[in-house]
Amino acid sequence: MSADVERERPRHEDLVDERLVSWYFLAALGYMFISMLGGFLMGFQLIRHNPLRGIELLSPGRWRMIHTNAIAYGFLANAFLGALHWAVPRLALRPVLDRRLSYFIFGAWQVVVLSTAVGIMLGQAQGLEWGETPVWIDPLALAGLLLVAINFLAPIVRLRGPMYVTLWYFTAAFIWTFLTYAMGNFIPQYFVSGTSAGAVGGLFIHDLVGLFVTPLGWGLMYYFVPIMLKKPVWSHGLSLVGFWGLAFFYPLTGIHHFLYTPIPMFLQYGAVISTIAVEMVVTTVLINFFVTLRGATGALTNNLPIRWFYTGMVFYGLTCLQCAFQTTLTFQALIHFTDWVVGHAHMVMFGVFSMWLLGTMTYLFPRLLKTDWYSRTLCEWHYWLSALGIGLMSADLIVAGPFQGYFWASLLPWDVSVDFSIPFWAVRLVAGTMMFTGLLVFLTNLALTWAQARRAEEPAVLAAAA
Amino acid sequence: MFEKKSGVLLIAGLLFFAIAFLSNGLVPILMYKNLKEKTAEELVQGNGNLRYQFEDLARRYPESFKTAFGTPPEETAAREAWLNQKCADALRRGRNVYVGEGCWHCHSQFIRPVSNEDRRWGPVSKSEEYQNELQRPVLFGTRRVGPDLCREGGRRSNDWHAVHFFKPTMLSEGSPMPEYPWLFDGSPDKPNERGFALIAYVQWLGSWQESYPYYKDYQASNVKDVKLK
Amino acid sequence: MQLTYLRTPGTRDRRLVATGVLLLSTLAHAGGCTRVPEPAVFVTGKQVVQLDPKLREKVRKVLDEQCGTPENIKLLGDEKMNPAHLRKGAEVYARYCRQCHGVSGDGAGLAASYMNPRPRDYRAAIFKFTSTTYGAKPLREDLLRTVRRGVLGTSMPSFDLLPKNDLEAVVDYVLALTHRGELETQLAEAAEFDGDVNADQVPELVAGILKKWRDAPAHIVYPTTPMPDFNTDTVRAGHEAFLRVGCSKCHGDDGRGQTKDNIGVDAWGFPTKAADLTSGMLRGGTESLDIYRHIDSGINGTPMPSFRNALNAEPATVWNLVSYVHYLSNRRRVGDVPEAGILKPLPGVEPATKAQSAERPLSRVTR
Repeated sequence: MSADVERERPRHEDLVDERLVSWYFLAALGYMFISMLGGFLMGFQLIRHNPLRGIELLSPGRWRMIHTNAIAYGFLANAFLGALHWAVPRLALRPVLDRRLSYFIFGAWQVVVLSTAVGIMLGQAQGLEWGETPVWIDPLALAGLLLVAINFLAPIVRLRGPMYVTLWYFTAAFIWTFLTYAMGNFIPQYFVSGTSAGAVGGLFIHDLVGLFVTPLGWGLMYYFVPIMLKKPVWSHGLSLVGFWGLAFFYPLTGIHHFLYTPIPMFLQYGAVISTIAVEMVVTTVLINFFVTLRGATGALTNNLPIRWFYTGMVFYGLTCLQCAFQTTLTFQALIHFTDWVVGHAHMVMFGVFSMWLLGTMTYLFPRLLKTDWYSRTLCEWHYWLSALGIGLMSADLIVAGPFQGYFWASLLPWDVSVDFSIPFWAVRLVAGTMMFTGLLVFLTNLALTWAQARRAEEPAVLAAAA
Repeated sequence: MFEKKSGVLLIAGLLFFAIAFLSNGLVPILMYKNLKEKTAEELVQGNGNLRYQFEDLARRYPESFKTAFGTPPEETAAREAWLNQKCADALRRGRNVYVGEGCWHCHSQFIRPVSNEDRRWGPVSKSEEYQNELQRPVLFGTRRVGPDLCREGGRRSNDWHAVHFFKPTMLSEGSPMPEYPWLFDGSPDKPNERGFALIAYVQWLGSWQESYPYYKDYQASNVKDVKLK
Repeated sequence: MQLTYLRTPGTRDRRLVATGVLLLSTLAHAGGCTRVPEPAVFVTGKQVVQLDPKLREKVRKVLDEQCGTPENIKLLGDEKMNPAHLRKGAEVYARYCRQCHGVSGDGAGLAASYMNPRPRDYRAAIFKFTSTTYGAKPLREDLLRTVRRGVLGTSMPSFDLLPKNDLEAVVDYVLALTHRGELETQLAEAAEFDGDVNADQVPELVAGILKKWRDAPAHIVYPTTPMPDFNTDTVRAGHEAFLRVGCSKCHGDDGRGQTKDNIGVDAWGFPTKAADLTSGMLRGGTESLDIYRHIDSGINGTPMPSFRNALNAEPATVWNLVSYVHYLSNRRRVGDVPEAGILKPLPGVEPATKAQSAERPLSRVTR
């Protein structure tokens, strides 16, 4: 009888390896630090005040790639894996396949990310946006993704009956991430070149966002938001629409990165239509979450993780609205290649997914360290610096974009557009400094919290010994 | 089906992904399968514009050229073959430098048929221009901090590029482009192997066009089709 | 809307501050990485340097009075010219030209020593690609055309995207620098001859300088016969003439300019050679009339002579030569790759001696 109870209500300690979750989060924050350093270097270069000019290993061109890769594979992937190690076993009521495998994956993934960074720093990047990982690392990374899928799918597969929304997203994401990575890194490198490679590259860029980051992010939202608000998600029907709409339309949008290229025009139209369809689906998901918040809006002020999450969702709404505009051919003619797109990318990667993950960390660290945050004020600072920073950066870049586009179309000399951009790039650097300061505040707070946890532990240990 | 493992795994995970890949990935692959992919050697073959620039490098920086590529053979046919081979090697190497240094994150390589781009740079890009080994993966690019480069070849001379790579602000006042002194042995007139390769690569961009190096200003001459021999 | 697209470093820095990036500027200035603008002061010409210091001072004074300073230059003989126009010219020149042509237009800017052929030294008032006869001054339009289309195959890029107004301004600025150089040379010669600088002489010197420029339109080269249709026959005839008239002596039988004797010295004292006509880039312009004029009148300041007298009796031959040059320069376009030949180093490219590299401003280049 007790064994049955145990199976139905397993203890948290048997499900979640908290140490591993902390490790993943710490690694993620470390990479975010590195990534932001790279962003800084490029930011200073753009306003022509790079103090570290002419040093091969610190070349802004190479660090620009470290900037994006450290965020995608260093911060996002690690933070997601940490959060998955918390959420998946608790949802499936079973631990992951093998604890040793989990630690092996952790180590292997850090090797992959670090060698990517070193490889890029040494100038071995692969010519694929968001996939600059040197070609010799690609198979290793793919093997890592396969192991991740196996490790997490094991408990999910043993689950009986219908699954909770979060697990739909996670299950699909394990498959999609593996397939996307394989498709993007190998087909344009080894099988096709030129325009066809461009089409596959476009699919890869967007699938990485849409089929790796987005489903994992929404999965976490469907998991944490109801827990924190202590109420279910408003509409199960809209959850279904959101998931299946994303699953169908998102993979079809990739070519919208290469409008007006020699890729066949009917495929470009298809991508544009799918993209607009995705925006509609997204609207249903947002409605679902914001209606869920009804009656609990107080949480936005007194529940910091909820505030992180919903701020992220507001940015998500904005970024999708922006996307619906920029994917139209009319708008694309003007803003393609400008800072508009850069603003969009930052708003997605930082404003949405990093926000969600930082909120998750804000929620989980006290539980992992078994103590409250050292300072709630510092947590607030972290939030406001990050939120205002990314708001300023995206607004600045999104405004700069159309101007750049008009300057180019006006056929004035190229440097006119550069001169015009300098003040915008300066503001962007200020915004970046705010976000970076936010991170430093968070790291400080975390260190102090950790020290506090250690202090709290010692008397307990002493008491136990006595 | 919509909430079950099998549905999520097989339909959303595999089937939808497969539909997208087949329709958006495989279709262009099949459409362009008859456009033969050229190797670097084939790109050099018969490309007199590129060969001119490569020979110019050899004549402009003879000592550094020898250090980077060795001494060309004396005998004419052997020398021609040697030059073509070295030039192809330089293109491949130059592409790696271009990618490794992140050039492609600030410079695109395609001219769109909108926004007056053909009037700024030259002919709109066509599919066959990209069917070669050096566009693996393709370098369309996503951002233009600097100008597009796919019609850059011949527009400026090798010495201009050398100085510009060494320290862009020496020529372009106020340029935000980083410096690349490691492509040189200490001074802009001493490119190393990577420097030569990158210059050759940039001069190659657009060299397949008849309008090279005038592009938008090109006026075809009626003496083009005359056969003297 | 008039866009201010050219800014001197000063205004740019002010703008940065205005944008509220005090922190950054402080950091950057503390790091010592602000760009030090080249001091905008005219360099004294060689002949003036050789004069007695007192005379040097006097020449300098006359020059400053007549021609102004780099930022506030005066165009000789054109007092009515709007100073704002020339200041715009100075801005454009500082942004796009000074790097190679130097503040004084002496062709010795920061990057000049790495360029081959060297950037033009305007002070000698000799310009290669003109529509006028050998020895005559160029038209203002000739300079404008060169700025606009660049000199392909050399480090002079095309500036055709500059607004028309800027092009006009920068050409006037270049003309002002040119006249200043001419006046400087003449003052130096006069001072050396007389042992003194006589201010009364100046108007006369200026008038002499300007007269040549005013006369230039009278020396425009027009073909004596209408341009025929080019075909295989004209190309063949041109090829035959190319070998007979003496073109091949410098340009080589194949037009590649890799003959042993193909080396000379130009008017600015730098080694030079006859062009590789197969490069597909004709420096003086691709139009038939451009080529005609360079055959007829030679190229100023270079060993390329005028063939006017030699071909006086056979105007058709010039057109045949033009068609042959077209043929040569289009060879690469039709996939007909000429052999590389001996890969003879470009003129002026010798194994670098220590003295040469020492005189280069590398310290300024590499920080």
